[in-house]
Amino acid sequence: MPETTIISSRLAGFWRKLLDGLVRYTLTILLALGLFGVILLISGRNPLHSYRDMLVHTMGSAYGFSEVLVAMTPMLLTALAVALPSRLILINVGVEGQLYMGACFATWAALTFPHLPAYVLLPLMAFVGMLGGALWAFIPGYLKARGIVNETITTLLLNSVAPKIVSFFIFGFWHSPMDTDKTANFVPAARLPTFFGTRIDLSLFIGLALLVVFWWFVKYTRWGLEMRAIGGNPQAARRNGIPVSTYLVVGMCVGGAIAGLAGMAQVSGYYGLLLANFSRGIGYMGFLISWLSFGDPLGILLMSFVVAVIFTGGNLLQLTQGLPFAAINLLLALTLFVVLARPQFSGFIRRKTA
Amino acid sequence: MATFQTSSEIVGVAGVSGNGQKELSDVVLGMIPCVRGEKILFGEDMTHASVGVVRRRGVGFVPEDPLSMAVVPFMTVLENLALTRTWHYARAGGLKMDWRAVHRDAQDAMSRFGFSFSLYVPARTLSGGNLQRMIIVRELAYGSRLIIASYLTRGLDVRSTFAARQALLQARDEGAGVLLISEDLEELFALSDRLVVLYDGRIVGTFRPEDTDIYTIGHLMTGSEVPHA
Amino acid sequence: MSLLAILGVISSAIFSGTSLLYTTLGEVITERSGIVNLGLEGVMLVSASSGFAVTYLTGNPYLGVLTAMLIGGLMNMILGYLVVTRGGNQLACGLALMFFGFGLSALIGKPYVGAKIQGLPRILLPGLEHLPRLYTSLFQFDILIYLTIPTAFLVWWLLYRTRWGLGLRAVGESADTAFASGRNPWRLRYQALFVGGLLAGLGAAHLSIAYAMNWTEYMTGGRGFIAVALVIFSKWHPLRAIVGALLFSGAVAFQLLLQASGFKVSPFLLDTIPYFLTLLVLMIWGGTRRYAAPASLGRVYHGTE
Repeated sequence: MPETTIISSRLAGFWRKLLDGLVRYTLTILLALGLFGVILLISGRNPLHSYRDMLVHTMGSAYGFSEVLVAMTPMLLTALAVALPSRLILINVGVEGQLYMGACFATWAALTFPHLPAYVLLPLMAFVGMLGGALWAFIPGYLKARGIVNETITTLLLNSVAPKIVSFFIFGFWHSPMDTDKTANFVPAARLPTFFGTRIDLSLFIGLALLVVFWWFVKYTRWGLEMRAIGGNPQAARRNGIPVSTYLVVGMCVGGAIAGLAGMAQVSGYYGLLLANFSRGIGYMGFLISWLSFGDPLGILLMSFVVAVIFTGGNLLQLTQGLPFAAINLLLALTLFVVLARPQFSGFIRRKTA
Repeated sequence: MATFQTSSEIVGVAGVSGNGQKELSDVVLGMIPCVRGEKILFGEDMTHASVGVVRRRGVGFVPEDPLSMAVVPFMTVLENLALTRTWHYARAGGLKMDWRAVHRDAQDAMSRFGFSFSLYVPARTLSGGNLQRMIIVRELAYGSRLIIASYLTRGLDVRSTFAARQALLQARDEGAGVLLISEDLEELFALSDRLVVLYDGRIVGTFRPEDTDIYTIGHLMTGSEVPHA
Repeated sequence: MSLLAILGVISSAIFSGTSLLYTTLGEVITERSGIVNLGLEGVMLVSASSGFAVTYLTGNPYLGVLTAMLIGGLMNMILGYLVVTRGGNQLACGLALMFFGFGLSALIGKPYVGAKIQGLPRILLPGLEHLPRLYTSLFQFDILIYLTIPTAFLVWWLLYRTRWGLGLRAVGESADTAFASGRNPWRLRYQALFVGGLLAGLGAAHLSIAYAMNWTEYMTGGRGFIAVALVIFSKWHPLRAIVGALLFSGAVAFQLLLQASGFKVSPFLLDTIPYFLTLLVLMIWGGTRRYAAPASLGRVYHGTE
């Protein structure tokens, strides 16, 4: 029967793709580790010790592993915030700004309603956080749908504005008596619950759940189908009656909402307060993760995990090797370079994206 | 632009490519907004209707270059077939798609027209002829009341050409109105119940095929005066 | 609102805007060839840290400036390799370069945090010698500041009056056409990136060697991204960039002025005005293609296959 042969050849192709992917990822990591090792050597440190320390610290202990998960969560969410609009060929580089606005709105809720019980306050914060992110994404989305301005440019501009607005609120109204660059600690009711005695909070599970929802949404629902059509051939989608403009705006807004949720999680879960300029590129890292995984949920999960391992390991290198923490960006960037340079380890051609 | 009245008839639109054909089909479909005048379809004023609304009322469109204009190349044939009527096949408020129904409707249509092409391969792998067959199934078979066929048989082999024309006639016999846009005068004369000539964005003549000849139409298409014999 | 205050604002804007202007001019060249460099932040950081280090080690600020320029050019070459030769996505590669710059600059600069250098000598604007001390101190500029406007004109001349510039702009508009008319888009883009990097390095050098005269992590404070916004604001024209740079860097200084005259507006909000202005400019004149952006900006050129 023709259908079964198609299915069985698809499965064989699946295993081949999996092996192929594994080989490529492994070689990529090895190449990046090698390059970073050279840099470590040049700056007078022992690469082997560094790598061993990193691995032991992150994977060797339960707490270390939990720290990896904590670092992974915001990037997972921001990557999702980029991945959904990317199905519509929308380039949402604005996650960084949407993140800040989400954090801002959530902080407002936390500071304005400190007396509410947690089961009311937390959903409220999540809701306004998503609202903030969605609003921040609406303007670029609308301008793009009307064909006025490219969303890449608008989101980049707004990225620079958002942290300033946050700083405005902190310095002007919200700062704690002791520090001017951050708020006071949030009340316990405004904090996301943690688990297993670690710093892992609810946002990890929400993120994982959203990942699954995203995968299922794009693959099985009617809207996912229409979104894929728009992503594949927007003109054709429009001819077939799909309301492309609406999707563009809504797509951006949903992306913004997810990024806003990530922002809320940062202030409510990770920090427990709002700190000016708290994000050193979480949004941009999410963009990279999503883009490098082609918006594929599994790829996003894996990549954000790997990046989180590198980040968490870097923390330790600061102590054992006297490396400035920011140096870990180097290993990250080298990994990214290697992936972006698309070395032909095997003959596998991936989809071309401009 | 003038208003047409079509039901159960094929109106052929003759014209040299570049005289407004694409604009005509796009305006009827709703891709290009109606700037002047009005657009009335099936008795309803659809001057400002979106493509989605127009489609739901039963307008089908067979474009001259389906792969770039109306098909999502990397999606399967089955998925492409569902695209014009996603609302029809959606279940649970849109949470699921009834692919069985899509499959069933597609099989029915294929047997009615005598077509046969694979449903589970990416659309871009279909041959030109099969691609056109797929579009015909999608636009003609599902109860379309008005079909805009633009350069229906351009680039097709003999068999596909025949199949396409048969399908068009069949649709007409089942009650649909057809706007056949073409450069092929033979085809226009063979299929049309009424003939209209488009030149420079305007209609420069309306005829019944039996009342006129290729010579006259040809002249009107190129904008030259029709010499009175 | 005394004259002194106003002059103080202008002086401050000139000082802090110089590095921004150089970087923007560099990015104008780069984007005119069709490449967006989101990694400017990283490029500037590495240039600033290495220039500072060299200045500290050799005691020669001019050497430091040259080093910074060269490093900037080299950093941009990385982007060139990824985007032009390997065909990577410009945004992603640029961001990766940014992270690279974060890390490398931290590594280079670590030993020099808190170090002090002599910096570039400051010369009084000629013709103002007879003014009281209070005023003259505002207008003692280093040589890089004096060279900004000439550099802007140089860039303008390069882009609009040379064959190289013409080819560059052609590549930015349509790489295919440029290729068909005998130019080499790949080489032109590499060259544009290198020159752009030189200028970005120059801007970074001014920041760490002449203006702040120290090194701290992330000291560029977003200037790399501001430059990208500025390029858009100036509609990819080097001379308009001068106004833009003053506007962008003047906003902070301007708020001091406002405060002095009784208006209490948050400096943060004032800082956002240039961005909103840019947005406005874009909305009115279109930010996608017509009249402004080089047409092939952001797209990969694959050559004729």
